[in-house]
Amino acid sequence: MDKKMKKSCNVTDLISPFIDGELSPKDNASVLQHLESCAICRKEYDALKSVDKLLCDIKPLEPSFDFAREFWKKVDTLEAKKSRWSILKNLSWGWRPALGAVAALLVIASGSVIYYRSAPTTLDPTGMLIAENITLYSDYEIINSLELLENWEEIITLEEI
Amino acid sequence: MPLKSTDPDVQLMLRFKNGDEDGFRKLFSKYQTRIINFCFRFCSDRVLAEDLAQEVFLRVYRAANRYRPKARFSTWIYRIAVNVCLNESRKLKKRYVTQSIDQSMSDDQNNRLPEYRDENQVSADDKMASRQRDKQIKKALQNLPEQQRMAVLLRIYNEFSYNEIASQMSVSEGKVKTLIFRGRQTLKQALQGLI
Ligand SMILES: [Zn+2]
Repeated sequence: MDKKMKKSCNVTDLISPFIDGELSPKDNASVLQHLESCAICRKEYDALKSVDKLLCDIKPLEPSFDFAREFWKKVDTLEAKKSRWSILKNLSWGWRPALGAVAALLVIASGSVIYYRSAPTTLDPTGMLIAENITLYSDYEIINSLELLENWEEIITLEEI
Repeated sequence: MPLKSTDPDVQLMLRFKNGDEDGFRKLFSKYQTRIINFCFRFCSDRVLAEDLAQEVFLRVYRAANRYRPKARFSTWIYRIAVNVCLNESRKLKKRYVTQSIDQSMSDDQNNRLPEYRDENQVSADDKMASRQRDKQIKKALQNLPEQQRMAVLLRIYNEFSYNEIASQMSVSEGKVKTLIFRGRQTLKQALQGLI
């Protein structure tokens, strides 16, 4: 068949991985040799190289002036939450058995307040701290589990890299 | 088994893991522009891109305790960036689908992100031809289905190998090859006038 009349070539599909250096040494060598004699593949090669170049010619963005500042603000917020939670976590390890009792006491105490508004409740300060933060503590446990789930795929795949 | 890496960025991350925040600061400063641009090329919205990039660095920051080097640091951070961008895209698509539940959509549209606000839209129109050209290229990129766009970005701008891209996108190497091939073909058609 006359080469000038040829409209397609079965090597053309290899041009993209050839440009990316993803062919085996043997295929790479044969595409390289083929390019010398095939106008269709040469045209494809030039066109794909131009596409890559056009994309790379676009000037990259510079970060906004407050990008880093905003980021460190987010880190500060994260650290503040973490330190609150770790205080609570440390407290709660020692107090875990008592936690349920305190919660129950709190329910009873609030019940009492509703029924007998006159009776003041007395709790020790640590107990009060745990009681006040009991919702926060369960949020912490939920968030911790979510983070683990969120990163699970990442962790598994990274093991395989 | 943890990799005995000579990658200086892995060493910086390990320093951070051991409590030296300077390691993280150096990585932040080295990668901030690249990650912002990666996100921007994916979503074409500067404000959103910076938010996404901050999320990427926050995840790196939070992951320090669990960090075990198994690959180049850049492979790892871009994997996080891929996840962050695709998550955002899913969220936006969900909102978009909910909003246009009564509208009929073509299969092609289903594969694309909703149209993002293009920060440069106004200025590009009344500037020089090179700005017009940039706009056309960005649009062509934006019109690619998101997986093709992601693979093309990772390859053409960041020069990751197919193997690395496969791990970053959680797909096979064969799929990466196809995504990049198709992405380039579509871009070639869309940018015909510029080639
Ligand atoms: Zn050929």
